[in-house]
Amino acid sequence: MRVMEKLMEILEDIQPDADFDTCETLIDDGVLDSFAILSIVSELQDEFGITITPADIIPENFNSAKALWAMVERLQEA
Amino acid sequence: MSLVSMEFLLFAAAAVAGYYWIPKRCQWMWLLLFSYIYYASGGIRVTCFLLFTTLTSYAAGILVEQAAEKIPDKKKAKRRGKQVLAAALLLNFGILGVLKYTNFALHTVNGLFGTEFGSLQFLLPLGISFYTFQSMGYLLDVYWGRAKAEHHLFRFALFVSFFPQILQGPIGRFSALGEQLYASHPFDGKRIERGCLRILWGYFKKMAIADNAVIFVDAIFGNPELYDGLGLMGVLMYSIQLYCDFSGGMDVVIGIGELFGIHLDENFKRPYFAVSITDFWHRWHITLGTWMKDYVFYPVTLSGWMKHFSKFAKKAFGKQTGRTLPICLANLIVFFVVGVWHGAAWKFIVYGLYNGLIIAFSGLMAPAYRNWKKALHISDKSRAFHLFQMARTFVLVNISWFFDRAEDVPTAVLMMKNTLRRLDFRQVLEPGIEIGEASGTTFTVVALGVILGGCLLLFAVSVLQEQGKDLAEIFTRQHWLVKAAVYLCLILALPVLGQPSGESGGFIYAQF
Amino acid sequence: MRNFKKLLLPAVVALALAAVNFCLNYALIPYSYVRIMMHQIETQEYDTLFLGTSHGLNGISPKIIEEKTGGRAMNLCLGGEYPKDAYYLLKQACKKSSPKTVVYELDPGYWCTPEGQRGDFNRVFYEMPWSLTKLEYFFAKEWKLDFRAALFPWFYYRSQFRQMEEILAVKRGQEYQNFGAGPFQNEGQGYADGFMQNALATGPKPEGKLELWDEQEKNEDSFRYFEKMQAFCEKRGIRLIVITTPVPSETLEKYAEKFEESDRFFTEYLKGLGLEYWNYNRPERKIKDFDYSLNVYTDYEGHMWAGQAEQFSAQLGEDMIQ
Repeated sequence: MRVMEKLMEILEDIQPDADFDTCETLIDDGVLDSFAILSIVSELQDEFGITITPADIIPENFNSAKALWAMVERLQEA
Repeated sequence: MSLVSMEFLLFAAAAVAGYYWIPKRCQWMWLLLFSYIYYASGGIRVTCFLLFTTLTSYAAGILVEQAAEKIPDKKKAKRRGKQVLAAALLLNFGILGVLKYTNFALHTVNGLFGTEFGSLQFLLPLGISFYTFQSMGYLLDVYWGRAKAEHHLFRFALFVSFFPQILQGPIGRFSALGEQLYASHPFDGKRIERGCLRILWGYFKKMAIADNAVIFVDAIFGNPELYDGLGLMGVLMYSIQLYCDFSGGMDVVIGIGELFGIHLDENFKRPYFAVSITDFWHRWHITLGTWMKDYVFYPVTLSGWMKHFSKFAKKAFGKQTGRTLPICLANLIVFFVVGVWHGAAWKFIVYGLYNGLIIAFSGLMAPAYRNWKKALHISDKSRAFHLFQMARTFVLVNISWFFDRAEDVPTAVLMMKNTLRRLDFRQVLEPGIEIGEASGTTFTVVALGVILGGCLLLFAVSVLQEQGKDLAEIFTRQHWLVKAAVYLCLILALPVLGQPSGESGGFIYAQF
Repeated sequence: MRNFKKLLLPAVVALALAAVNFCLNYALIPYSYVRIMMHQIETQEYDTLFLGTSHGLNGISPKIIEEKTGGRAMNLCLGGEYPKDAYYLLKQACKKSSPKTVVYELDPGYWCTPEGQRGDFNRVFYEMPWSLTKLEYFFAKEWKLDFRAALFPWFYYRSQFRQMEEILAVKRGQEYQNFGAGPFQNEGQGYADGFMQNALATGPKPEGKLELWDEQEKNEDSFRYFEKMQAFCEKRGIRLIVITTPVPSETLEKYAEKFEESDRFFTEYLKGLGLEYWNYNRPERKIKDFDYSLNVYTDYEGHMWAGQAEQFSAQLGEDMIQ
C-alpha cells in the first residue's frame, strides 16, 4: 500500500481541491486537465522509475486514483 | 461544391434519399461513392492527393501493425514500426507543408537574405489540412496500439474521404468514426428531423448573422486608418462572424452526418462562455484541440529530450516549477503549430504563441492563483467571479482576434492602440460600409439590428444548451404547427435577413 | 395515419414557402424587357438573331438590319449575358424560329471574368418558360449559385421593396399584360424598335473600371458554351458571325495594347473554329462618317447612342449581305 499512499500524496500536491478518494471520473468530468495529467505523469515517472508513453494516457488509466495505481504497478512489472 | 450552393443541397438530398433505399449492407459503399463524387467535383488532379494520403496511410497502418505482431524481436519490431510511421508522416505532412507553406518560406527567406525567389503556383486540395490530420491521427493510434488497423481498403477510403467533414472538419478519430461509418443505419424519422433542424440552424447562423457581420469586419479591417475609431466594433463583429460562420458550418456538417445516422464529434461548445483561455480551447475548434493534445502535446512532453529538460528544470527551479516548465514549453510548441495551421503568415504565429503563452503562464501560476483566491476568499463557485472570468477571457480572446484578422502584426497592434485611444462609433454611419447592393444609413442600421437580434437569439439558445438542455429533443416533441412555424421562420430568415455571399460565397474554414 | 402526419409537416412548410415566393416574386421583381424578348421569341419567327452583351443591346437596331437584309431580326443582347446565357437563349429561340444567321457580339470582358450572382444575371433564366431547355439551363447555371438565388428568385431584389407600389402598379397595367415597352421609356434611354436606345449626351464621360481582356483569367465556361453555340449553329446550317462593336477612339488609344492583344487572341481562336470575326475596331473596318469620339458615346466602355447605333447597324447589315 506504500505505492498508493505515495500516489495520493502526489495527486493531492498537484490538484489539492480534487476528491481523489471517491472520484472515478477524473478525466471524463474534466477534474484533471492536460497540465495536471502531465504533471502527475512527470512525478510518477520520477517517483516510481517507470516510463509512461502517450499510449498509456487514456481515460481508463487516469479516471481514478485506483486506476492510476493499477497502471503504475503494471508498468513497474514491465 | 460550396456548402451554400444549390448543387450541394441537391447532392446531399440525393445522397440521403438513396442511402435509405439501398440494402443496408451497401450503405457505406454509397457513402464512399458520394464522397468521391463530391471530392472529384473539385477536380481530378486534386483527387490524386486524396488518393495518395489514403493509400499511404492504409499501407502504413497495416505495416505498422504487422511489425508489432509478426516480428518476434521486440526492439526490431519497434524500430520497424517507427520507420514506417516516420516515412508516412514525413510524406503526408511534407505534402501539406510544401503546398501550404512554400511561398511563406520563400517570402521569409527573401526578407532575411534579400533574395528574390518568386512565388510558386500550387494546387491546394480541398480540406487537405483536415484529411491529413485525420489519417495521420489514425496511423499514430495504430502505432500506439489504440486502434486496430483497417484491412479493408475501401472502408478505409471512406474514413478518409467522408464528404460532410472533409472540407472543414470536425477531425474524427478512427475508433469512434470507423465503426459508425461501416455500420448499417435504419431510417429514423426523429433523427432526420434533428438533422434537418441542425442544418437549418447552421445556415441561419452563417447567412443571417455571419454574412451581415462580415460586411463590417471587411470594411473596418480593410481600411484601418479610415475607420480608426471602429477597431472595437470591428473585433466584436469578427468575434460574431468567425463563431457564427465556423460553428454554423459545423452545424450543417454535423446535421448532415445525423441524416446518415452518423454522430460526428462536436467542434464548438459555447466558446464565449469560457472561463480561461485553456477552457476556451476546450470549447473552440474542439477536435483540433484534442488532436493537438493527443498527437503533439502529450508525445512532445513525454519525449526523451523533454525528460532531460525536465530533470534540468527541476534541479534549477525546484520541483513545482520544474515539472511545469517542460509542459509549458510543449504547450508553446503546440500553439505554434496551431498558429501555423491557421495560415502561412507571421501574424498567425503570433496568434498561436499569444494563446500558448497565456496558457503556459497560467499553468505556472496555478498554485499561486489558488493561494490568492483562498486569501481573498474568492470561491470558484461564486457567480460574480464566474462572470469576471468570462469577461476576462472574452477580452483576451478578442485581442487574439486582432492578430488573426488584421492584415499583419503591425496593423493589429495599431488597431488595438486605436481602440484604446480613438473610439468613435459614429464612423459606422460614414459611406463606404456597403451592404449588398445598397449602402447608406438605413441599411447599416438594419444590418446592425439583424446582427443584434440574431445574437440575442443565439445567446438564449446557448444559455439553454450550457444548462444541458437538449433543445432539438424539446423541439421534436412540439405540436406540428409550432414546428412548421419555426421551420418557416428559419428558412425565410435566410433570404430575408441574409446577405448575398461574396464571390467565394462559402464558409471560411472550407479553404483550409 | 401516422405516415400522413409525417408528410403533413414538410407539405405545409413547402406550400407556405411557395405562397410566400409567389407573392414576393410578384411584388419585388420589377418588369423587365427580358420578358418582352422572351415573349417575342416564343411567338414570332426570326431570320437573324443577335446575341451578346450590353454593347449589342445599345448598338444594334433590328429595324435597320431588317431594312438591309430583308428578313426579320431580333436583338437578344443583354448586359450580363455570358456565352452560357446566350447559348440557352439561342436554343430557346430556335424552338419557334429557324434563323439563317446568328450574330454574336463578343466582349472580351465576359471571357475573363466569373459570372455574377446578382439578380439581373439570372433574368434570362427567370423569364424563360419551363421546358427541357430550361432544365438543362438550370443544371448549367442555377445550381452552382447560392441556393437562395435558385429557390427564392426575389432574393436579389429585396432592395426593391421601396419601389413595391410602383412595381405592382406596372404589373397590373396594360403594358405588362401585353408585353409592351411603355414602362421602359425614360429620359436617358428607352427600349424601342427592338433595342435599348440611349439618348445623345455630349460632354466628358466618366471612366469606370473597364474589364479588358486578361488571358490569365480565362473563364472556361465562356469558351465551352460558345463552342456549344457554334456546334449548334453548324448542326442546323446557321451562319454564325462574331463581331466586336467599335469603342471610342480615346479608349482605343488609351488601352491600345489590351485591345490588340484581345484582337489577336480571338482572331486566332475563332479562326480555329472556322468562324468569321468582324472586329469593328480594326482600321480596315472603319465605318464611313461614324463619330468615334468619346463625346457622343455614353461612356468609356463604348455604349453607343441611338444615332450611332443606327449608323453601325446599317454598316453591319451591309456587311452581312455581302
